[in-house]
Amino acid sequence: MQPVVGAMYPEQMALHKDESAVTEGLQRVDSMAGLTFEELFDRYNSMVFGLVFQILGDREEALDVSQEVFLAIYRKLGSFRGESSLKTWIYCIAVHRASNRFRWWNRLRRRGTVSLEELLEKGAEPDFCASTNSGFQSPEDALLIEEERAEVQRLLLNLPLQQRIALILRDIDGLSYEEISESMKISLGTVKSRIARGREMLKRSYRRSTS
Amino acid sequence: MLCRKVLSQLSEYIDEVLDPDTAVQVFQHLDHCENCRKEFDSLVMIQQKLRSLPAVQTPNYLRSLVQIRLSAGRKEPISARIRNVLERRWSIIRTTEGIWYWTRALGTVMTTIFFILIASVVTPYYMNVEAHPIDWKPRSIDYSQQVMKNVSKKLGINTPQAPPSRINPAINILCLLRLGQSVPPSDNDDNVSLLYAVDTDGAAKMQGVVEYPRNRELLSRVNEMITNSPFRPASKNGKAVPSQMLIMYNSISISN
Repeated sequence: MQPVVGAMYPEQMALHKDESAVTEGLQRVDSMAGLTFEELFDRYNSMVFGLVFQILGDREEALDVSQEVFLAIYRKLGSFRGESSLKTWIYCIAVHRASNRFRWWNRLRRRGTVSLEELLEKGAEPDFCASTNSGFQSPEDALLIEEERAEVQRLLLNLPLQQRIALILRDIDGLSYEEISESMKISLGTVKSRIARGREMLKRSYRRSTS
Repeated sequence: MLCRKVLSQLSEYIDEVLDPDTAVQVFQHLDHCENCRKEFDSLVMIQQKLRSLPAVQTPNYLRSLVQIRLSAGRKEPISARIRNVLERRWSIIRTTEGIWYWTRALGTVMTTIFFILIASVVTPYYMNVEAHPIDWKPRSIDYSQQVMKNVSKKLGINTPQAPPSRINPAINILCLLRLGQSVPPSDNDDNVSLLYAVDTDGAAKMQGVVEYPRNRELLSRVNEMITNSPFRPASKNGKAVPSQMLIMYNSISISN
């Protein structure tokens, strides 16, 4: 088994020696999930970044919030009791941080300092998304698919925050209803209604945009 | 099963979280209801579009950024850490709408209570009567009664006589400065009361002397001052009308 602190963070060794809570947290994670912080980062960084990006729709903000999420994970490891799975615990932190950041944006937008349209435009940029085009598609087809995906992503960003998060967790990240309930700290019934309403709204807006 | 009920359960049906009996009912309904089938297909299509969104690639340097933040967190002095914690807490308060509005409401209530407390506890210095007692006693018992008698005589008004035992200090209070009232009377004090008629242009013309001063020069100086000063004429129904004005001038000597 690897040491508690991975080779990636040599300067953190001293920190772990000093702060016993963090050390205990890391050891607990180590014993429960068989992971060091480095392994934890490797395993969950794309999950966290992807989720935060889908919620916020902005790459730079997603980067910033992802850092905050991993810092929070690092600090809160000592308080992780293993009552939920490590995955839903990390999801919970990521959802909370991204929601806070989005609300902060909303407040700025209401004051007129940030343009949401600009935000959505930025969010619709496909250049940083992994292309899944197969080599058999013509350039025109590939362009059409890209445009349609960008449109779906834009419509998704227009959904109310809570419904959007529920839909992302369910349809993009593939979480079960129970996992979504734990991640968002809401009841199972609320999860069902948010997903149903989110899909309904997305369906209507998609119809409007294609008609 | 009614269409409305089926439509409300389509999302759960797609996710296969309905109980088996209900799922069978929905399945059977979709088999023969064209409209519900269309809605079902649309929802499936939306779900597929969401699932087909390309995976977001994490930038390689996220690892380095986290590493830098962790190192910075270690090297920061305690004051910077406290500031960061406070800033984070404050940002949570500001960004969480419910907490923000409650904070503002609480702040308003606390400020109001604070000002009420301040107003009730602190007495302004100019209201501190104890510290600066004012001598409200009239300078002369006969003075006010004499003035009132003369004024009534000049104006031709019959005023009821005040009981001899009671003193009406109103005139003294109205005419004398607070400073003068607190100063003991001296032999150099002098008073003059003059009756003027003010015409519609605001010019004052002396009609008579109610009280003569001991020093005649004071009478001419006061009269000169009043006649050279413009006054706002009295008005009745919005129009300027002639009126009478009583000027009572008290000259008070203050030593030291």
